[in-house]
Amino acid sequence: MLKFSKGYSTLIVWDGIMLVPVGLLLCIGFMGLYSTGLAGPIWSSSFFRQLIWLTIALGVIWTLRFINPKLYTDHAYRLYGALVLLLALTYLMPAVAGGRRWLLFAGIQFQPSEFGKIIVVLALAKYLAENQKKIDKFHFALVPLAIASGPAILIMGQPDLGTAIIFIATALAMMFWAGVAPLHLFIIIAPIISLITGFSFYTFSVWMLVVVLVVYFTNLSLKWGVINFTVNALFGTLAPTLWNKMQPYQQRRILTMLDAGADPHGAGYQVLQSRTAIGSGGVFGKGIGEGTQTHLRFLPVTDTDFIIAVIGEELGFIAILAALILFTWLLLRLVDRAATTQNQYASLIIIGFATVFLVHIFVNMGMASGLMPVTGLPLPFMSYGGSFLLTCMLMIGLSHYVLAGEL
Amino acid sequence: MSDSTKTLIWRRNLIAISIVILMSIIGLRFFQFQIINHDQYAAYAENNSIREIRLPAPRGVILDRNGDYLVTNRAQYSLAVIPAEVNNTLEALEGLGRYLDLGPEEINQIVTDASGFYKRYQPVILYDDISFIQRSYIEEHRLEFPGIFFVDRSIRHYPSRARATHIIGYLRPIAEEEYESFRKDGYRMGDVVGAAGIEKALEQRLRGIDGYKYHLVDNLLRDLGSVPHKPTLYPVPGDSIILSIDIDLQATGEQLMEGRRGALILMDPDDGTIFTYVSAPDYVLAPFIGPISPSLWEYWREHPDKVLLNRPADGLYPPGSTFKLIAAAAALAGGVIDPDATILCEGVYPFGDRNFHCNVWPGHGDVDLTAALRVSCNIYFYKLIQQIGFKAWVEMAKKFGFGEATGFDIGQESTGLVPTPDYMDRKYADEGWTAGHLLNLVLGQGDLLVTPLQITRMTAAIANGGRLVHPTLIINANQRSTSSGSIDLPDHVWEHLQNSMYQVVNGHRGTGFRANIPGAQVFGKTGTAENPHGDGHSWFTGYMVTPTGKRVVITVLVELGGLGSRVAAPLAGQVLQAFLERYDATGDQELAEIQ
Repeated sequence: MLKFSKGYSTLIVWDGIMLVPVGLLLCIGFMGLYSTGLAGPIWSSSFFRQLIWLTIALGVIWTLRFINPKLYTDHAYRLYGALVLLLALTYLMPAVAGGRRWLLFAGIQFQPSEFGKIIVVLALAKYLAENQKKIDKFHFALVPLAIASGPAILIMGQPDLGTAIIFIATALAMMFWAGVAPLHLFIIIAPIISLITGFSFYTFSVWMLVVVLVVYFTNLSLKWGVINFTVNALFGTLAPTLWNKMQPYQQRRILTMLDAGADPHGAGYQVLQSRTAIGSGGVFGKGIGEGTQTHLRFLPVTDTDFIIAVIGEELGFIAILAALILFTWLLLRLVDRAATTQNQYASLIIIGFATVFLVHIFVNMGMASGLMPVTGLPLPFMSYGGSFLLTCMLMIGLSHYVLAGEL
Repeated sequence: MSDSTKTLIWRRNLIAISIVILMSIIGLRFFQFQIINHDQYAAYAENNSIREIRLPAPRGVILDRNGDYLVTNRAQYSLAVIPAEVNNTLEALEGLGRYLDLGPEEINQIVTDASGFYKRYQPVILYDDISFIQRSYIEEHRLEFPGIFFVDRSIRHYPSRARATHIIGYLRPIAEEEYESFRKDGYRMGDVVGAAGIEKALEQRLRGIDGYKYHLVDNLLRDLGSVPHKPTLYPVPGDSIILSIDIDLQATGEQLMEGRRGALILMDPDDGTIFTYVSAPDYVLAPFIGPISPSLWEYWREHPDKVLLNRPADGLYPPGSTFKLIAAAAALAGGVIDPDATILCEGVYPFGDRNFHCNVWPGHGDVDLTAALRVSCNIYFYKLIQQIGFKAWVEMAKKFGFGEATGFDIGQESTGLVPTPDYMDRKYADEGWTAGHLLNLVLGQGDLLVTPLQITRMTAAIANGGRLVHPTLIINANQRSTSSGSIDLPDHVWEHLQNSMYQVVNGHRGTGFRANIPGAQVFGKTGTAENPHGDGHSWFTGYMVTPTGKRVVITVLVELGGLGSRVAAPLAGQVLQAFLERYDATGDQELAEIQ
């Protein structure tokens, strides 16, 4: 059971190089939230509420430092089981804004899928660390994928495509880090690419040529080569059928990515307004509270999904550049810590967290600038949202704790 | 260890490079928007948040030659509401409806219909053309009715006692199917344009230049007031147009033509400016200022009296005996007859297998050319045309501008029809045409068709000694020449024609004696154009020379009016009388001041 140990907390070394970008990113985020809250009273603004959530998050991190991180890995599978249960429970909850993502617990709403990101990383780390020896066998490589897919499928049904994608991406990155053969990863990813290229005959033909070359130049047995080829061919040809089975909103979002102007009052409208906000900001921005796109409400969900558009409009490219540099700095620092530690568990966990951050950052900023579909993934340390801020801060805190412990 | 460290390093490097590449993609994307395409997006953002509000230019006013208003503008107020701000309680709606004869349910319906999420901050018209009393009441109780305001637009107002319907012309909104052709000139859907008369002919001068003001709006188009860095461009009103019309004489003419169908034109023979221009019947312009109700439009368009027809310029009629002047001119100019030689009129003229009759029984006796015009003897002209010949007669008609447009400056104009030998050959190809047809033509009957304006111009040419003027309603219309050339005839021809016309009004048994007025010399010619549908069209055309030497041409046509001498001539006399009273003494000075 849980054991509190004063002795363990003295081993924790706070990493300034990791914490400085986090602090600065939080500052940029709060500037954006301050602006979006200007119209109303301060205590009901997302700026103020985010401050409260930050305080709670810091308190939780401070408390967790007494828990031996070994407990997380010991209980990773149980936590994983609890997560699956909670995700299943969301299906019994009334729908909020067209989705069932929240659980109501003692009067507080929270999204199990947010904390699920941490739990899945822990479970994956445990499996990959404990089966290091068998990792070069292909069928073992399939297990971590299954671990990620369980919650991913449940979340996709909520529906929350973006979060589901995070689990799969994280699993792949952690498998790569754990030493799964690149060929095996290729075989796993290939059907997904077949699925996407299946919509265009020419790209699909080129892709199938790549698959054949890979199968030919690697020492894959004839049997597995044929199976691999058949699976990819099947996925590619089935893609259009699958497309027709998709929810209209999912189809729309994907189409919107391809042409933002096509659907000016749906998701495309949001992206167009977001691009207009960002582009009109220029180098130095219009100034806090001066953004017409933000304050005349042309920009949708300013404090959550499109916070970066607010920052782009009011603080300009300077602030965007600063945020990107800080994010890169943080991610590289996480990877560096993962690479230098002798602790296999900690290394995998930190790589998992880094991947969760990376996917959020790339998808959110890509979405705001029209590179990615509107998936509703928030931006770490900046978007308003209690569960998400807590999750991000916990990932930073836990990165320190797992490095200090003996797992 | 060293092997696993090596693999770890390449994995770390691959992941680090992937991070940098992904972040660079995002960075370049933002660089593209914020630096490269900044101007374009800044314009988008401004376009989003700044609404251009048009300030329509007031349409130019229209005045008569004495500076009195024929057409002005007045403000029409409508009551508008912003649906999201309306107080929807029953008492408030009842209070509002009390002075608008609208029930609370009706108001509630209008407001509810306009309350969709994305349009609830856009004003909707609740009540059109609100009266002063209604407006005062609502202004007084303004605090009880939030979300309410008045919008005004400028509409046409016709203060003069002369209707001048066909002169001014009506306005109508641009129809959807013709919008494309108007758009290049800066019109917008729903704009009102001149559709007839001066309003149409001078549309470009009357419309002015619209102004614009700029307001900040949010995503629901909620108005947030003016934008400091975009100053208002004020509208430039349309030109004021001075017409040659005289409101008093116009009103007199309209009064005289009341209950009749036809045309009445009073024109200066020297510069072609028109004092009075009546197309009867006419209609009241006031209901045509904005959107015209389809029923009203149908009513006038289907009216059996062809109310919308602009008779003086566009109406086609046989000219009747007024056209004998053309035959007389041809005879005198060609020298084919001795004008003093007489012909015996016995009231009937057998020609071919048919008897042609004169207008009195048992005939006029011995008549020369002057007498033939004076009493309008048909027999004289039956014989005359055979001496002149068809070709010379056609040439003379064309010299006087028949068969071609007069160059009148408003609206549609008919060219009329002067039958030529070619035309007759074509038309009567089967049964053939004979000199019998010619006898009809010389009396202004048969295939010959003219407009009252062409007849007026002919008379003006006789009065001024051969100048063919452009009839006009506009003073100083683009400084264009007042005439389209002169009719080159010897002076004695003009003198003879003038003298004959004087005899028509003043001579013994002259058919135009009812146009005579004391105190001025009146010249004229009557006509009664036979009509298979009933009474003939009653014509009088002539001119007056006032004691001060001022000349003015009058033409009166009454459709199916009967004898020209009995119907048209006295009407002409009354108009000339009015002109004489107005312009001979004091009027001349007024005119001099204006010109």
